[in-house]
Amino acid sequence: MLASAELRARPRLPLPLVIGSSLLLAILMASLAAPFITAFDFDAMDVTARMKAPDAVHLLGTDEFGRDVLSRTLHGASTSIGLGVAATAFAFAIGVPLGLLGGYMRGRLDDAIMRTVDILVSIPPVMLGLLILASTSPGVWKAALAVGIIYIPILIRLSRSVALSLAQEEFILAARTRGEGLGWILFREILPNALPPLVVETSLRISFAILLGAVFSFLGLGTQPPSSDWGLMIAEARPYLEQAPWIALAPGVALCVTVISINLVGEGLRQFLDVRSQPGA
Amino acid sequence: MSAILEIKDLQLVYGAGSQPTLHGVDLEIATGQAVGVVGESGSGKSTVAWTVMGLLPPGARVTRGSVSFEGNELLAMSAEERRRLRGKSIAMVFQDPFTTLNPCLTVGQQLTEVLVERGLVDAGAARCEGLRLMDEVKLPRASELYDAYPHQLSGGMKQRIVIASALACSPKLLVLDEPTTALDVTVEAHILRLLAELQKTRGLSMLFISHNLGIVEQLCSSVTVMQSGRVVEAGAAEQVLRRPNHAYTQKLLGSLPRLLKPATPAPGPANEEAPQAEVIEARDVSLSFGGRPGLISRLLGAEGNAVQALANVSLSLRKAEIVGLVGESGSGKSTLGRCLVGIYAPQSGEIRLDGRATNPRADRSDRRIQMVFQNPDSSLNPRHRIGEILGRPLRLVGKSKREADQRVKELLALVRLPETYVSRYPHQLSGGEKQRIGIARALALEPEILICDEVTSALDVSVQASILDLIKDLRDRLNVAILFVSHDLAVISQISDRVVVMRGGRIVEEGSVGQVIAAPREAYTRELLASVPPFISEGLSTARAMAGA
Repeated sequence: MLASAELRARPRLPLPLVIGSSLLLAILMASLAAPFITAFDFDAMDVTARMKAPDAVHLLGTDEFGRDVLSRTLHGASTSIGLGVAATAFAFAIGVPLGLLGGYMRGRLDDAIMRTVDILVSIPPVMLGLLILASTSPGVWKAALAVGIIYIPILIRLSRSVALSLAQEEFILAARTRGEGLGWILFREILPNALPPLVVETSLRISFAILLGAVFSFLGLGTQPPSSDWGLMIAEARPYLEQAPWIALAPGVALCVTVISINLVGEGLRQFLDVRSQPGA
Repeated sequence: MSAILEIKDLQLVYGAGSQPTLHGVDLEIATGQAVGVVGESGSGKSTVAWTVMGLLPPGARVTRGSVSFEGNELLAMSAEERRRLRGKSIAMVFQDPFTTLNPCLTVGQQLTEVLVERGLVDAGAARCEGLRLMDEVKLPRASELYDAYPHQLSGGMKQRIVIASALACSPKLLVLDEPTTALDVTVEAHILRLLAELQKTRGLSMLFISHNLGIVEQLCSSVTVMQSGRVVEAGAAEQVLRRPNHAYTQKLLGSLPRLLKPATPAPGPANEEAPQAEVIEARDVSLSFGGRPGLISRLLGAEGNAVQALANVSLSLRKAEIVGLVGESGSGKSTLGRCLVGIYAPQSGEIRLDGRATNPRADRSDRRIQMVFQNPDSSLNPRHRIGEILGRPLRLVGKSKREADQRVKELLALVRLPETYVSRYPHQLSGGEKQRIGIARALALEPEILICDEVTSALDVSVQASILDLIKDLRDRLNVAILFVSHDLAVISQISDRVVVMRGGRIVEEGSVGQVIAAPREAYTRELLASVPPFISEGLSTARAMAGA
């Protein structure tokens, strides 16, 4: 038998969570400390040094306008990650409560929510984004909002399916018989049990949101030049892939590492939230 | 008589580095003999069955011992050799007929699949053979059922199909893993009778795994009792069940609920001369489910197929009285319990508290009726600590954190659990402990009426005995009225003052324990009583004689 103090003690952090969050933190720190890492402004052009291969001066080379690729990559980090996180947070905040509500309440309300979702998913995502962004002036935060709206149905469907099966459990019945309100049942009884799949999905969504944000930037609807994000950088570097592959490589690798570390954080969080893996099991 | 199956000193480990699940198990089945393996959950009895079948999950490793079938060592055989043996020489019947059959295939296809696949009969003769097998397991209207899908069959019929398909290749050894646990008592009795008959006519050898000592005697000539991976006692059924040597067997037999301890009326206030006033009463309650078909079906003119769950049911509970509500699945017993708590609102009739009509769903303010649920694994939120689970009902009625903490400690003491459990999660508790928490939660607000819905059916017998003890003790100390819903007449007879028998949404019979069990008036009650294994209903005949006198 374990003493209660031992049980209360926080379990050890899962390894994936440690690795993932340190990587992510390092990337964000580097982005903030960009002025101290490189000598060049992210938008400083130098026509004499166009498309230069990486050397001691430009560590990751320069792009077609002679801008330092390292500075631009570091500068793009906060935009890209910010867009991914903001879009997913928005989708989570709207989608999860609606999904839980539909799955728990069933009936007409559920029908109304799910048919709306059906309509939303029947529109191709990029079309939907274009609709939202083309009607107003473009900007990075609007791109985040558009991505968020596109991802709402996915989170609604997932949380609804989890709520649907949990609603049959006797502890929900017990909560109802003691007169719990809807909010308690949804967020204190169902949500904690729905978190593991939601956390995994959310971490995946952040990665995809960064990529979809890049698509919008590429279409000229997200980040506006001379500002930069990784998606835009990769898109702009595409014509020069043969002559100057390093222009696309740096943001590509950065994006790749970020996506992996976010997924590690998701997996780690899932382990961390699983009470069964805690000591005393 | 030679042994068809011989297990010697079997030791088995799940996953490297963990403790062995089986510690040197010995078991022998003579040709044509049925051997029962009995034990509680975690005793390793199912692991023995899987080892014999060669169906051990990945990671399981036999570290010592031998299993020989007709003199051939099973553990030395290749996977392919064992596969050929399965079904043909050794067949298995699983616990839950509701999940054993594939819902996408017809009964006939599943029944003859093994025969056709092994080339024993061609597709044309398959039907004929299938019908013969169905006949052998005494399924009526075989030619109709042959083309039916599993969902169209009752549980008992499904289990007969499963048995028939196990018999298809005429195996010599039949491994039965709790084949009647998922079934109603009357159905269980029929299946056991069928198995006993098949054993005789086919000369089958059987390995019968069960948690229920009471039913093994009907089928098995010898019994092996297991506890935590060890055989603690083995011998002739007669000897093990009547004159057990080992303390564990004695404990198991002692905790087995027997039908009626004759001539000792259950003590309690309810047996006093002047009956107490009724605290809760259901009057002419009716309820039906599933009436409304979907929108599209309605447009196509489909009729609703409503199921009448309760039809004009009346029931009352007096202070400090335990009423046993017994019935098989679909009898409406749980629905009635839920109506009383207010989970369902009756469509007609009323629920009266202290003689006043209430709408239990709207009127939750006094919270005088509480419920204990069937499955302790699903009735406690796995992500809440015990302290939160027990404290929440108190916080909900506006008690301060300190008051709630204090009461939680009292509650834990009341159900005989240590205070340190407040910081635990449900999965860190055993099944019996979880059910105690479920009871403590229901008692948190000091209810006057407690509805216990099959609260012991998911528990081992020894745990069940202690929970029944606890419930009786709580009744005596707290004077709560208890509606004890169960499918098990023996359990009901142990705990109740009054018994109510339900069937198909109606109350069939009602009376004191002594009257209903010793001198039942209705045919259905007699049928229920007849389904109780003779081992458990011993002493009943004397009680009947006394009641008649």
